[in-house]
Amino acid sequence: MDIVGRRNWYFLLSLAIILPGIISMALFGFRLGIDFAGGDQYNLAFTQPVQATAVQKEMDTFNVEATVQQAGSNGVLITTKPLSSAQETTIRADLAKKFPLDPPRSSYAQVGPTIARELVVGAGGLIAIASILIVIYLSIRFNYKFAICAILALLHDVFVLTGIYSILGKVLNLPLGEINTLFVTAALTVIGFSVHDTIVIFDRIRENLRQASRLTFEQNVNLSIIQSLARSVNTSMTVVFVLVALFLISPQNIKGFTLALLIGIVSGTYSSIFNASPLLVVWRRLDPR
Amino acid sequence: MINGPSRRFRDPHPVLPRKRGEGTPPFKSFSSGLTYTFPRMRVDRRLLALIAVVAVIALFIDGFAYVYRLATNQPLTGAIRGVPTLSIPFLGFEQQIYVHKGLDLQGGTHLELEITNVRSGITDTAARDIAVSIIERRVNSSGYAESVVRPEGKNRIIVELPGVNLEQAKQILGKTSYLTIWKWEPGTPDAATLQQLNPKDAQKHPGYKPVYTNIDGSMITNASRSTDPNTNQPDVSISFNSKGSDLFCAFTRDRVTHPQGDPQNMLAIFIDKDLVEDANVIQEICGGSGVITGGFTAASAQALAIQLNSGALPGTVSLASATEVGATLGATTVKLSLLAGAFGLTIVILFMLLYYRLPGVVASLALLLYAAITLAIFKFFGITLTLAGLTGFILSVGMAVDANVLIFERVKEELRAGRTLGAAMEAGVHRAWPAIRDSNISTLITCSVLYFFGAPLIKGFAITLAIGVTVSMFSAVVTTQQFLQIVAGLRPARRLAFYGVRAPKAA
Repeated sequence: MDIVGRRNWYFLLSLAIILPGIISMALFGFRLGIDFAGGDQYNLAFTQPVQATAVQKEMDTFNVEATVQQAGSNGVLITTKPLSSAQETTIRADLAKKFPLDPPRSSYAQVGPTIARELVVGAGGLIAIASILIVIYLSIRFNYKFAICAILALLHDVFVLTGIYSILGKVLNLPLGEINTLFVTAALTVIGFSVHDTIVIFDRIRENLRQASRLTFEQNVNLSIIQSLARSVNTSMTVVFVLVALFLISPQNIKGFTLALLIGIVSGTYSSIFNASPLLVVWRRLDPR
Repeated sequence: MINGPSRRFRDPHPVLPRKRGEGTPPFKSFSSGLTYTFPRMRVDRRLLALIAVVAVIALFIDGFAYVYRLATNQPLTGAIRGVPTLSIPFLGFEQQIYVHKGLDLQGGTHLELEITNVRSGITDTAARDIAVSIIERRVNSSGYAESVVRPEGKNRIIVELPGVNLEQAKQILGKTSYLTIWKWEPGTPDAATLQQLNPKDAQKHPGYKPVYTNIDGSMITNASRSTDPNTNQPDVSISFNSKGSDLFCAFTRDRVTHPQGDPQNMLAIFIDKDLVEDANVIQEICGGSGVITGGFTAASAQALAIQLNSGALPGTVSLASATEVGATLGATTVKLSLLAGAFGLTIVILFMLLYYRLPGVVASLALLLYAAITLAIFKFFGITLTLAGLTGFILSVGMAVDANVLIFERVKEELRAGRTLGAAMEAGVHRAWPAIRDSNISTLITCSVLYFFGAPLIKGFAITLAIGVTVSMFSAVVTTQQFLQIVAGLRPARRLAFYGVRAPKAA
């Protein structure tokens, strides 16, 4: 197998996934959850099937910019602008009167505008700080070229994930594509996993380079990727199995979270095999020192 | 030579053709503290003892609920009474050992309050602390178990009320605690007074009834703990606004005419319905400020000062965010997570057994031990498990498996290269170690960034992932390695087929 030799095809595949995402992000942005946008969110469960449109009609009478979405046949997700305490009480009482509410299976969240602002700043900053620290650590353990290639692979995964979520949330208008605190947690996990995966292959390259070898750098990288392939695939498969199971059984409010993890882990595995190490080769060609 | 999968490049350097003493050993050290000289490691009794001790402690903590049931004569099944507490009196050790479930898992209301418009002359943090104590008092007097009220940041307060819905929570927090000052007059309290005040407190002095002085908490501008310059005893200084000052002056002037010890000499401070202080008036207090003395400890003086301040909150408290999770929803989430965890573990174990054969058995044992240790740490240190935390834990299981996979892939390679079983296992661990170390340290770096800068939800995730990753390193390098060495020493376990490797061709 010659992965390094066909690297341009793999780079192209990555671009084909990332570019639509970037365009969507630039044009439409994200579907922000109340964690970021501020507002109130009811995740209501009913004892019998209820149509989202019926709830929407009821919510419209309150004039609170409500959007209602179906969440399973027995549930809806209502998002509104920030409500006052009195408004919230009135709405809840009204809904309880008109629909067969099941309070123990419902949840509700409210986020004020000040907290929302802090979270937006926080999430971007966290990714940046974590990336910088990882670059420093990898520069010490490997060298700065390895470190930067690992971070490029990481950014690849972040862009794949956020791009797909932008498309899911804004273009396809699915509640699944909502960006909330759980999504940030998922993104951070993906970062950890992506770097983890990349390092395992880099470690192999480092080891093979140390042994005096007649192989060129390019051949060496390819060999290392193939030597690590069984491990990369095996590990990712076990995690993917667990995540698919989680995704299928998880309730509506955390489906988006498990899906984000799933996309991120698959992308992370792909980028460490097909992007990070071939990038090393590209760099070496441009700068053969 | 290697009989690996089809490759385009022939590998001129099989991974481990070096002999002992030839050239420099490729990997000298694991880390600064642990130096392993190449192929000298065999079953180490001390490490095995360490594993055994850790395992026993972990299993004890995991099974502590049963020990607790036995110790308190409870049936072994059904709901547990009380919180399992492990106490070792002679060590001064006392710790509640159970899984602390976050609100998203047990249902309840999480509120984040923000204090704005803080009264002048008081810092934001002081206002926050006063508000915390007021809210704590309200929450506790409502009798909700396991509730949490804690300061967050400069001007925020987090309130967690398990098993309480948002409406109830608003009722608890929304009622303003109201401080009033009363005097005692001869007579018996009428029905209206008994309604307004706690009957026991209103009838504290038989033959006397409390009469409202029209002085309330809004007239107190400040109260603080101070020290009597003469006796060096703690006391409480209190100051009033002009209206309060006038009323207090008239009130104390009237009261000092009665002898000390007579209830009519006393000043009764009520918060809501409860009597919190019944003090003698020694002299008239005019000019807007006075001192309450006598019988205080530093702590009780501080407590009274806070209560006096609490008559009115030191600023406007508003709701910054609220989350309410229904009890059944929380239980469903737990069930699903456990199901996913069990399912994941089963898949992982099956996969390891089928793919790696005998080492897979070892890895499965190591993995179960890993799960037991991690759970014990969660229980022992009272780490609150939230949904995000559970995810962190499940992911760390993935990383623990990965460490094993890395080791076994290397072991396979070494076996194919013709090494003996023991040496191959040892070399496998050695060669996998740098990858395990570097990848896990990167994960720990991410975790610490998340922990120190993240929102509470992200913190929970970071903690469980960090604990999981740390334990997984121990599990991979100590447990798996030692178990492998034991297996390598067993004669029936020496067939290469048990390792998913065909015997190498004679060179």
